[in-house]
Amino acid sequence: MDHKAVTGHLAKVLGREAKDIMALMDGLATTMRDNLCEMNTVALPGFGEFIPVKEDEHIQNDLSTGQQILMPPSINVKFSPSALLKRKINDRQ
Amino acid sequence: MNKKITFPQLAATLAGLTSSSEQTAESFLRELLNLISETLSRGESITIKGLGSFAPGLSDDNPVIWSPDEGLAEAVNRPFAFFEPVVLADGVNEEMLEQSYMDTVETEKQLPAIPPIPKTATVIPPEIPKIPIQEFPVEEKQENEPEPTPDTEIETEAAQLTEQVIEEVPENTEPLPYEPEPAPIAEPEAEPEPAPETDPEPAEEYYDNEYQEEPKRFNPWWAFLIGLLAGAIIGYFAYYFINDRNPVINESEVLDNTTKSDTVVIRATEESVDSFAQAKTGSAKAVPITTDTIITEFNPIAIDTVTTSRYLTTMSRKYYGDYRFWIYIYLENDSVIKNPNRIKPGTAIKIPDPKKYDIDANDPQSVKRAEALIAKSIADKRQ
Repeated sequence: MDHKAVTGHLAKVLGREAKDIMALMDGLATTMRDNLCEMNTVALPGFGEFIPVKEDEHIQNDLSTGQQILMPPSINVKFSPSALLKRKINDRQ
Repeated sequence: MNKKITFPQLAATLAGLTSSSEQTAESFLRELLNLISETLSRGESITIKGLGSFAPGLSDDNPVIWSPDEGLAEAVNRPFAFFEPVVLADGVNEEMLEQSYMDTVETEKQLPAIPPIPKTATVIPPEIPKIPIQEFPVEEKQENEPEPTPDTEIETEAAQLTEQVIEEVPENTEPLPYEPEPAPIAEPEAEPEPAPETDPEPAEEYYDNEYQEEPKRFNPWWAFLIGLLAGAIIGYFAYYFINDRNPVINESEVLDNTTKSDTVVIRATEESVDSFAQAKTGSAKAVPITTDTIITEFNPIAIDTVTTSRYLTTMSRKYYGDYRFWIYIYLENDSVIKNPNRIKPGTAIKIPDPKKYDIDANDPQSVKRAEALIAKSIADKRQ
Protein backbone atom coordinates (compact mmCIF):
# COMPACT_ATOMS: atom_id res chain seq x y z
CA MET A 1 0.00 0.00 0.00
CA ASP A 2 1.50 3.27 -1.08
CA HIS A 3 1.12 6.73 0.33
CA LYS A 4 -1.75 7.69 -1.95
CA ALA A 5 -3.77 4.61 -1.07
CA VAL A 6 -3.17 5.27 2.61
CA THR A 7 -4.39 8.81 2.21
CA GLY A 8 -7.52 7.72 0.39
CA HIS A 9 -8.32 5.03 2.89
CA LEU A 10 -7.93 7.37 5.86
CA ALA A 11 -10.02 10.04 4.16
CA LYS A 12 -12.77 7.51 3.65
CA VAL A 13 -12.61 6.16 7.19
CA LEU A 14 -12.37 9.56 8.91
CA GLY A 15 -14.88 11.19 6.58
CA ARG A 16 -12.50 14.05 5.67
CA GLU A 17 -11.13 15.41 2.50
CA ALA A 18 -7.90 14.09 1.09
CA LYS A 19 -6.26 17.54 1.56
CA ASP A 20 -6.85 17.41 5.28
CA ILE A 21 -5.44 13.92 5.48
CA MET A 22 -2.44 14.99 3.42
CA ALA A 23 -1.82 17.88 5.80
CA LEU A 24 -2.06 15.56 8.78
CA MET A 25 0.35 13.12 7.14
CA ASP A 26 2.86 15.88 6.45
CA GLY A 27 2.45 17.15 9.99
CA LEU A 28 3.09 13.70 11.37
CA ALA A 29 6.27 13.33 9.31
CA THR A 30 7.51 16.73 10.49
CA THR A 31 6.74 15.97 14.11
CA MET A 32 8.46 12.62 13.96
CA ARG A 33 11.53 14.08 12.27
CA ASP A 34 11.87 16.91 14.76
CA ASN A 35 11.59 14.66 17.75
CA LEU A 36 13.97 12.06 16.38
CA CYS A 37 16.53 14.69 15.44
CA GLU A 38 16.45 15.77 19.08
CA MET A 39 17.19 12.17 20.04
CA ASN A 40 13.74 11.76 21.55
CA THR A 41 12.02 8.41 21.50
CA VAL A 42 8.52 8.42 20.04
CA ALA A 43 6.40 5.82 21.80
CA LEU A 44 3.10 4.81 20.26
CA PRO A 45 1.11 2.48 22.55
CA GLY A 46 -0.06 -0.73 20.87
CA PHE A 47 2.22 -0.11 17.92
CA GLY A 48 5.86 0.37 18.90
CA GLU A 49 8.70 2.86 19.55
CA PHE A 50 10.88 4.82 17.20
CA ILE A 51 14.28 5.05 18.90
CA PRO A 52 17.23 7.11 17.65
CA VAL A 53 20.46 5.22 18.31
CA LYS A 54 23.99 6.55 17.99
CA GLU A 55 26.52 4.07 16.69
CA ASP A 56 30.24 4.68 17.22
CA GLU A 57 32.77 4.22 14.50
CA HIS A 58 33.63 0.60 13.87
CA ILE A 59 35.40 -1.61 11.41
CA GLN A 60 33.21 -3.49 9.05
CA ASN A 61 34.30 -6.20 6.69
CA ASP A 62 33.19 -5.96 3.11
CA LEU A 63 32.28 -9.53 2.30
CA SER A 64 32.45 -9.01 -1.44
CA THR A 65 35.97 -7.53 -1.55
CA GLY A 66 37.31 -8.67 1.81
CA GLN A 67 38.44 -5.16 2.68
CA GLN A 68 38.12 -3.63 6.08
CA ILE A 69 36.17 -0.43 6.18
CA LEU A 70 36.20 2.00 9.03
CA MET A 71 32.61 3.03 9.35
CA PRO A 72 32.06 6.50 10.73
CA PRO A 73 29.79 7.21 13.66
CA SER A 74 26.18 7.68 12.79
CA ILE A 75 22.71 8.10 14.22
CA ASN A 76 20.12 5.65 13.05
CA VAL A 77 16.48 5.27 13.95
CA LYS A 78 15.29 1.86 14.90
CA PHE A 79 11.74 0.68 15.21
CA SER A 80 10.87 -1.61 18.05
CA PRO A 81 7.37 -3.13 17.58
CA SER A 82 5.25 -3.49 20.64
CA ALA A 83 4.20 -6.87 21.97
CA LEU A 84 0.61 -6.25 20.85
CA LEU A 85 1.70 -5.62 17.29
CA LYS A 86 3.96 -8.66 17.33
CA ARG A 87 1.14 -10.85 18.61
CA LYS A 88 -1.28 -9.44 16.09
CA ILE A 89 1.03 -10.12 13.19
CA ASN A 90 2.07 -13.54 14.37
CA ASP A 91 -1.52 -14.60 15.11
CA ARG A 92 -2.71 -13.62 11.63
CA GLN A 93 0.19 -15.41 10.01
CA MET B 1 17.22 15.13 24.46
CA ASN B 2 16.49 11.50 25.19
CA LYS B 3 12.90 12.15 26.11
CA LYS B 4 10.06 9.76 25.43
CA ILE B 5 7.27 11.36 23.46
CA THR B 6 3.97 9.78 24.31
CA PHE B 7 0.87 9.42 22.16
CA PRO B 8 -1.02 12.43 23.62
CA GLN B 9 2.08 14.63 23.28
CA LEU B 10 2.51 13.58 19.66
CA ALA B 11 -1.18 14.23 18.99
CA ALA B 12 -0.98 17.65 20.62
CA THR B 13 2.07 18.57 18.57
CA LEU B 14 0.39 17.36 15.40
CA ALA B 15 -2.73 19.34 16.21
CA GLY B 16 -0.63 22.43 16.73
CA LEU B 17 1.13 22.01 13.43
CA THR B 18 -2.00 21.36 11.37
CA SER B 19 -4.16 23.82 13.30
CA SER B 20 -6.69 21.14 14.02
CA SER B 21 -8.17 19.82 17.23
CA GLU B 22 -6.39 17.25 19.37
CA GLN B 23 -9.32 14.82 18.96
CA THR B 24 -8.94 14.95 15.21
CA ALA B 25 -5.20 14.37 15.51
CA GLU B 26 -5.69 11.47 17.93
CA SER B 27 -8.32 9.83 15.73
CA PHE B 28 -6.08 10.25 12.71
CA LEU B 29 -3.13 8.65 14.51
CA ARG B 30 -5.26 5.69 15.75
CA GLU B 31 -6.66 5.03 12.29
CA LEU B 32 -3.19 5.25 10.75
CA LEU B 33 -1.63 2.84 13.26
CA ASN B 34 -4.56 0.40 12.84
CA LEU B 35 -4.15 0.57 9.10
CA ILE B 36 -0.41 -0.18 9.35
CA SER B 37 -0.88 -3.07 11.77
CA GLU B 38 -3.70 -4.58 9.69
CA THR B 39 -1.67 -4.25 6.53
CA LEU B 40 1.31 -5.90 8.17
CA SER B 41 -0.91 -8.64 9.58
CA ARG B 42 -2.10 -9.35 6.09
CA GLY B 43 1.52 -9.80 5.09
CA GLU B 44 1.64 -6.66 3.02
CA SER B 45 3.96 -3.71 3.21
CA ILE B 46 2.92 -0.13 3.58
CA THR B 47 4.79 3.06 2.73
CA ILE B 48 4.15 6.42 4.33
CA LYS B 49 5.86 9.47 2.90
CA GLY B 50 8.18 11.13 5.38
CA LEU B 51 8.05 8.23 7.79
CA GLY B 52 9.25 5.16 5.92
CA SER B 53 8.06 1.76 4.84
CA PHE B 54 6.86 -1.07 7.05
CA ALA B 55 7.28 -4.62 5.82
CA PRO B 56 6.49 -7.92 7.51
CA GLY B 57 9.49 -9.71 8.92
CA LEU B 58 10.60 -13.20 8.38
CA SER B 59 10.92 -14.21 12.01
CA ASP B 60 8.58 -14.09 14.94
CA ASP B 61 11.10 -12.14 16.98
CA ASN B 62 11.29 -9.44 14.38
CA PRO B 63 7.88 -9.46 12.69
CA VAL B 64 8.23 -5.91 11.30
CA ILE B 65 11.01 -4.50 9.17
CA TRP B 66 10.99 -0.73 9.14
CA SER B 67 13.15 1.22 6.75
CA PRO B 68 13.09 4.94 7.42
CA ASP B 69 12.43 7.49 4.76
CA GLU B 70 15.60 8.89 3.19
CA GLY B 71 14.80 12.41 4.25
CA LEU B 72 14.17 11.34 7.80
CA ALA B 73 17.39 9.30 7.95
CA GLU B 74 19.48 12.15 6.58
CA ALA B 75 17.93 14.65 8.95
CA VAL B 76 18.62 12.46 11.96
CA ASN B 77 22.19 11.66 10.86
CA ARG B 78 23.03 15.23 9.93
CA PRO B 79 25.57 15.73 12.79
CA PHE B 80 27.75 12.96 11.28
CA ALA B 81 26.87 13.43 7.66
CA PHE B 82 30.35 14.76 6.76
CA PHE B 83 32.03 11.51 7.82
CA GLU B 84 32.69 8.94 5.16
CA PRO B 85 33.71 5.30 5.39
CA VAL B 86 37.46 4.78 5.11
CA VAL B 87 38.98 1.67 3.57
CA LEU B 88 41.69 0.42 5.92
CA ALA B 89 44.98 -1.07 4.85
CA ASP B 90 45.65 -4.74 5.25
CA GLY B 91 46.66 -5.83 8.71
CA VAL B 92 44.98 -2.97 10.48
CA ASN B 93 42.68 -4.12 13.18
CA GLU B 94 40.78 -2.60 16.04
CA GLU B 95 43.65 -3.16 18.48
CA MET B 96 45.99 -1.08 16.39
CA LEU B 97 43.36 1.60 16.10
CA GLU B 98 42.88 1.53 19.85
CA GLN B 99 46.66 1.72 20.34
CA SER B 100 46.91 4.73 18.08
CA TYR B 101 44.01 6.27 19.94
CA MET B 102 45.75 5.69 23.27
CA ASP B 103 48.92 7.25 21.90
CA THR B 104 47.03 10.35 20.94
CA VAL B 105 45.46 10.45 24.37
CA GLU B 106 48.85 10.17 26.01
CA THR B 107 50.26 12.95 23.91
CA GLU B 108 47.32 15.07 24.91
CA LYS B 109 48.04 14.24 28.51
CA GLN B 110 51.65 15.23 28.04
CA LEU B 111 50.68 18.59 26.68
CA PRO B 112 49.37 19.87 29.99
CA ALA B 113 52.59 18.53 31.53
CA ILE B 114 54.43 21.26 29.62
CA PRO B 115 53.20 23.96 31.97
CA PRO B 116 55.91 23.05 34.45
CA ILE B 117 57.48 26.00 32.71
CA PRO B 118 57.19 27.73 36.07
CA LYS B 119 60.10 25.51 37.15
CA THR B 120 62.18 27.16 34.52
CA ALA B 121 60.92 30.48 35.85
CA THR B 122 63.33 29.96 38.73
CA VAL B 123 66.07 30.75 36.29
CA ILE B 124 64.37 33.88 35.06
CA PRO B 125 64.09 35.75 38.38
CA PRO B 126 67.82 36.42 38.67
CA GLU B 127 67.60 38.12 35.29
CA ILE B 128 64.69 40.33 36.24
CA PRO B 129 66.44 42.09 39.11
CA LYS B 130 69.15 43.27 36.74
CA ILE B 131 66.79 45.85 35.33
CA PRO B 132 66.19 47.66 38.63
CA ILE B 133 69.91 47.51 39.37
CA GLN B 134 70.52 49.78 36.43
CA GLU B 135 67.74 52.12 37.39
CA PHE B 136 67.98 52.44 41.17
CA PRO B 137 71.51 53.76 41.47
CA VAL B 138 70.51 56.97 39.74
CA GLU B 139 67.76 57.59 42.28
CA GLU B 140 69.70 56.36 45.24
CA LYS B 141 72.60 58.62 44.50
CA GLN B 142 70.57 61.55 45.69
CA GLU B 143 69.59 59.74 48.85
CA ASN B 144 72.97 58.29 49.65
CA GLU B 145 75.26 61.08 48.53
CA PRO B 146 74.25 63.70 51.07
CA GLU B 147 74.72 61.16 53.78
CA PRO B 148 78.23 60.57 54.95
CA THR B 149 79.68 57.12 54.52
CA PRO B 150 80.79 56.12 57.99
CA ASP B 151 78.99 52.78 57.88
CA THR B 152 80.12 51.66 54.48
CA GLU B 153 81.87 48.69 55.99
CA ILE B 154 78.69 47.63 57.77
CA GLU B 155 76.75 48.04 54.57
CA THR B 156 79.22 46.01 52.59
CA GLU B 157 79.02 43.27 55.19
CA ALA B 158 75.25 43.42 55.03
CA ALA B 159 75.43 43.26 51.25
CA GLN B 160 77.63 40.20 51.45
CA LEU B 161 75.20 38.58 53.85
CA THR B 162 72.27 39.41 51.57
CA GLU B 163 74.14 37.98 48.61
CA GLN B 164 74.68 34.80 50.55
CA VAL B 165 71.01 34.72 51.39
CA ILE B 166 70.16 35.28 47.76
CA GLU B 167 72.33 32.39 46.75
CA GLU B 168 70.65 30.17 49.27
CA VAL B 169 67.09 31.18 48.69
CA PRO B 170 66.63 29.95 45.10
CA GLU B 171 68.00 26.56 46.06
CA ASN B 172 65.68 25.98 49.00
CA THR B 173 62.58 27.57 47.62
CA GLU B 174 60.03 26.39 45.15
CA PRO B 175 59.65 28.28 41.93
CA LEU B 176 56.09 29.52 41.99
CA PRO B 177 55.68 30.93 45.50
CA TYR B 178 58.98 32.80 45.37
CA GLU B 179 58.56 34.34 41.98
CA PRO B 180 57.56 37.73 43.34
CA GLU B 181 60.45 37.81 45.81
CA PRO B 182 63.31 38.32 43.40
CA ALA B 183 62.31 41.95 43.08
CA PRO B 184 63.02 42.75 46.76
CA ILE B 185 66.19 40.68 46.51
CA ALA B 186 67.43 43.01 43.86
CA GLU B 187 67.27 46.00 46.23
CA PRO B 188 69.97 44.85 48.58
CA GLU B 189 72.18 44.22 45.58
CA ALA B 190 71.53 47.74 44.45
CA GLU B 191 72.40 49.25 47.84
CA PRO B 192 75.99 48.15 48.08
CA GLU B 193 76.84 49.59 44.71
CA PRO B 194 76.17 53.19 45.64
CA ALA B 195 78.15 52.71 48.87
CA PRO B 196 81.55 52.72 47.18
CA GLU B 197 80.33 55.58 45.03
CA THR B 198 79.55 57.71 48.07
CA ASP B 199 82.92 59.41 47.72
CA PRO B 200 82.66 63.18 47.42
CA GLU B 201 84.17 63.27 43.94
CA PRO B 202 81.43 61.33 42.14
CA ALA B 203 78.89 63.37 44.03
CA GLU B 204 80.41 66.60 42.79
CA GLU B 205 80.57 65.23 39.32
CA TYR B 206 76.97 64.27 39.57
CA TYR B 207 75.92 67.72 40.71
CA ASP B 208 78.20 69.32 38.16
CA ASN B 209 76.48 67.37 35.46
CA GLU B 210 73.21 68.46 36.91
CA TYR B 211 74.22 72.12 36.85
CA GLN B 212 75.52 71.75 33.33
CA GLU B 213 72.18 70.47 32.23
CA GLU B 214 70.30 73.39 33.74
CA PRO B 215 71.17 75.96 31.05
CA LYS B 216 69.67 73.64 28.52
CA ARG B 217 66.36 73.93 30.24
CA PHE B 218 64.13 76.81 29.28
CA ASN B 219 63.61 79.05 32.25
CA PRO B 220 59.99 80.20 32.46
CA TRP B 221 61.10 83.53 33.95
CA TRP B 222 62.83 84.36 30.68
CA ALA B 223 59.56 83.82 28.88
CA PHE B 224 57.84 86.10 31.37
CA LEU B 225 60.45 88.86 30.94
CA ILE B 226 60.45 88.56 27.18
CA GLY B 227 56.68 88.75 27.14
CA LEU B 228 56.77 91.78 29.43
CA LEU B 229 59.29 93.59 27.21
CA ALA B 230 57.34 92.73 24.10
CA GLY B 231 54.17 94.04 25.70
CA ALA B 232 55.87 97.26 26.75
CA ILE B 233 57.28 97.85 23.28
CA ILE B 234 53.98 97.12 21.61
CA GLY B 235 52.19 99.37 24.09
CA TYR B 236 54.63 102.21 23.48
CA PHE B 237 54.26 102.02 19.74
CA ALA B 238 50.50 101.71 20.03
CA TYR B 239 50.34 104.80 22.26
CA TYR B 240 52.61 106.70 19.91
CA PHE B 241 50.60 105.63 16.89
CA ILE B 242 47.27 106.62 18.47
CA ASN B 243 48.56 109.99 19.60
CA ASP B 244 50.06 110.59 16.19
CA ARG B 245 46.73 109.87 14.54
CA ASN B 246 44.62 111.93 16.96
CA PRO B 247 46.98 114.22 18.71
CA VAL B 248 45.80 116.66 21.29
CA ILE B 249 47.75 119.78 21.73
CA ASN B 250 48.87 120.26 25.23
CA GLU B 251 49.95 123.74 25.73
CA SER B 252 50.16 123.42 29.44
CA GLU B 253 53.86 122.96 29.02
CA VAL B 254 54.07 126.23 27.14
CA LEU B 255 51.93 127.94 29.69
CA ASP B 256 53.83 126.41 32.50
CA ASN B 257 57.07 127.54 30.90
CA THR B 258 55.82 131.03 30.52
CA THR B 259 54.35 131.14 33.95
CA LYS B 260 57.30 129.52 35.54
CA SER B 261 59.69 131.83 33.86
CA ASP B 262 57.60 134.79 34.77
CA THR B 263 56.09 133.79 38.03
CA VAL B 264 58.53 135.82 40.00
CA VAL B 265 57.96 138.82 37.89
CA ILE B 266 54.21 138.49 37.94
CA ARG B 267 53.94 138.05 41.63
CA ALA B 268 56.28 140.93 42.20
CA THR B 269 54.50 143.15 39.80
CA GLU B 270 50.94 141.97 40.15
CA GLU B 271 49.76 145.06 41.89
CA SER B 272 51.87 147.32 39.81
CA VAL B 273 50.62 145.66 36.64
CA ASP B 274 47.05 146.23 37.72
CA SER B 275 47.79 149.77 38.49
CA PHE B 276 49.73 150.02 35.28
CA ALA B 277 46.89 148.55 33.33
CA GLN B 278 44.47 150.90 34.95
CA ALA B 279 46.77 153.76 34.20
CA LYS B 280 47.08 152.58 30.64
CA THR B 281 43.35 152.28 30.28
CA GLY B 282 43.12 155.79 31.53
CA SER B 283 45.59 157.10 28.99
CA ALA B 284 44.76 158.09 25.47
CA LYS B 285 46.86 155.32 23.93
CA ALA B 286 45.21 152.59 25.99
CA VAL B 287 43.07 150.34 23.96
CA PRO B 288 40.03 148.79 25.58
CA ILE B 289 40.20 145.07 25.24
CA THR B 290 36.56 144.20 24.97
CA THR B 291 34.72 146.66 22.87
CA ASP B 292 32.55 145.92 19.91
CA THR B 293 33.60 148.97 18.11
CA ILE B 294 37.23 147.92 17.98
CA ILE B 295 36.35 144.45 16.84
CA THR B 296 34.50 145.85 13.98
CA GLU B 297 37.31 148.23 13.10
CA PHE B 298 40.19 145.70 13.11
CA ASN B 299 39.86 142.65 10.94
CA PRO B 300 42.02 139.60 11.50
CA ILE B 301 45.24 139.70 9.59
CA ALA B 302 45.21 135.97 8.93
CA ILE B 303 43.43 132.73 9.64
CA ASP B 304 45.74 129.95 10.67
CA THR B 305 45.11 126.31 11.52
CA VAL B 306 46.29 124.50 14.58
CA THR B 307 48.43 121.47 13.87
CA THR B 308 50.58 119.15 15.94
CA SER B 309 53.52 121.47 15.41
CA ARG B 310 51.71 124.78 15.26
CA TYR B 311 49.85 126.19 18.18
CA LEU B 312 49.11 129.54 19.73
CA THR B 313 52.59 130.36 20.93
CA THR B 314 54.17 129.51 17.60
CA MET B 315 51.55 131.57 15.84
CA SER B 316 52.22 134.41 18.22
CA ARG B 317 55.94 134.19 17.56
CA LYS B 318 55.31 134.08 13.84
CA TYR B 319 52.90 136.99 13.54
CA TYR B 320 53.91 139.17 16.52
CA GLY B 321 57.54 138.26 17.07
CA ASP B 322 57.06 137.06 20.64
CA TYR B 323 55.34 133.96 21.93
CA ARG B 324 53.87 135.76 24.91
CA PHE B 325 51.26 137.49 22.79
CA TRP B 326 49.37 134.18 22.39
CA ILE B 327 46.91 135.43 24.98
CA TYR B 328 45.51 137.92 22.50
CA ILE B 329 45.02 135.18 19.93
CA TYR B 330 43.24 133.18 22.60
CA LEU B 331 41.00 136.11 23.55
CA GLU B 332 40.21 136.73 19.92
CA ASN B 333 39.15 133.10 19.45
CA ASP B 334 37.52 132.66 22.80
CA SER B 335 34.36 131.33 21.19
CA VAL B 336 36.30 128.57 19.41
CA ILE B 337 38.89 127.75 22.04
CA LYS B 338 37.52 126.66 25.37
CA ASN B 339 40.79 125.59 26.86
CA PRO B 340 44.00 127.02 25.43
CA ASN B 341 45.91 124.06 26.75
CA ARG B 342 43.94 121.56 24.69
CA ILE B 343 43.12 122.58 21.17
CA LYS B 344 42.24 120.03 18.57
CA PRO B 345 44.34 120.06 15.44
CA GLY B 346 42.58 121.51 12.47
CA THR B 347 40.91 124.26 14.44
CA ALA B 348 40.84 127.49 12.46
CA ILE B 349 42.32 130.39 14.42
CA LYS B 350 41.86 134.05 13.65
CA ILE B 351 45.00 136.05 14.10
CA PRO B 352 43.92 139.50 15.34
CA ASP B 353 45.45 142.65 14.05
CA PRO B 354 48.33 143.70 16.35
CA LYS B 355 46.98 147.20 16.42
CA LYS B 356 43.82 145.97 18.01
CA TYR B 357 45.63 145.03 21.22
CA ASP B 358 48.60 147.35 20.77
CA ILE B 359 50.94 144.44 20.30
CA ASP B 360 54.55 145.32 19.84
CA ALA B 361 57.26 142.86 20.55
CA ASN B 362 59.80 145.62 20.86
CA ASP B 363 57.75 147.44 23.43
CA PRO B 364 58.37 146.07 26.90
CA GLN B 365 55.17 147.57 28.12
CA SER B 366 53.21 145.62 25.55
CA VAL B 367 55.00 142.46 26.60
CA LYS B 368 54.25 143.17 30.24
CA ARG B 369 50.59 143.67 29.47
CA ALA B 370 50.53 140.34 27.73
CA GLU B 371 52.19 138.66 30.66
CA ALA B 372 49.74 140.29 33.02
CA LEU B 373 46.86 138.98 30.97
CA ILE B 374 48.37 135.50 30.96
CA ALA B 375 48.74 135.61 34.73
CA LYS B 376 45.21 136.84 35.15
CA SER B 377 43.75 134.16 32.93
CA ILE B 378 45.64 131.51 34.78
CA ALA B 379 44.45 132.91 38.11
CA ASP B 380 40.86 132.95 36.85
CA LYS B 381 41.08 129.35 35.75
CA ARG B 382 42.51 128.28 39.06
CA GLN B 383 39.67 129.97 40.87
